[in-house]
Amino acid sequence: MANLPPYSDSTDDKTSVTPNRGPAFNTPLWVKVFGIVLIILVVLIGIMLLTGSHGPGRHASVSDLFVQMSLIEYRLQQL
Amino acid sequence: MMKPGLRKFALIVHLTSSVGWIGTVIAFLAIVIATITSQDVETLRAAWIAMAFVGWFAIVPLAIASLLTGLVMSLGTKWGLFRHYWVLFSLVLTILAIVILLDNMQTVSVLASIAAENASADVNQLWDGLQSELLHAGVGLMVLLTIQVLNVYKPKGMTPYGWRRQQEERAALQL
Repeated sequence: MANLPPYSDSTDDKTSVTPNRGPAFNTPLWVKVFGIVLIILVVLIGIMLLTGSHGPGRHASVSDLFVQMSLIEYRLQQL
Repeated sequence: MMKPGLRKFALIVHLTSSVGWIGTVIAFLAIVIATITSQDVETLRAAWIAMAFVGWFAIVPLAIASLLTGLVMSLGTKWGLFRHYWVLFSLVLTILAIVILLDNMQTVSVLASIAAENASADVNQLWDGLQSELLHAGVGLMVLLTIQVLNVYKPKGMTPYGWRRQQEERAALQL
């Protein structure tokens, strides 16, 4: 969410109100495509994390995190 | 809404952390690729230890700073967090990237501790792990670049909530 310019009202947006035709609200095509890709991505990641076929399930639990970091430091000192 | 001075400061911090995040992922990728091409065991061990340090002390802090400053920027300006699809997608992708990052860093920590074990290090496991890191860092970089493109181009498209709020604000101005 970088580089926000001064806010400009989106009067030329498809979502704007046109006085003669009344309010119009359309979801842009890019949003639909992006949304579908994102949903597929989230589902795939969720399946991988839940089935344990990926990530910490293979090696360690979250609670092991700082233990592992301490181990690295300890072993480096031993070298 | 934030005052202009505060807004600029928040923007600087946000840009620094976001671009810094991309830079550190590129550094991580460089270590992975250089190690794969070197085929040297000592380089392999050193690379895993370096990846753990770069990950925990550079990538993770910058990623969290990027998320937090992004939240401040969106909530502190009229862009809002849920009004525009590009902001919403940036938020979702950032959270997803951080979840995967934290998950993957646990694996990196374990393999780095194995690498730090001198003679008994499981070298095959370390080589196999590099392929996974290449995938994680490569896909992660693509996600970060996608977020950057969204933030620069800011494609049009308001969420139903954003559109409703816009109508309410316009109606209030006409009163």
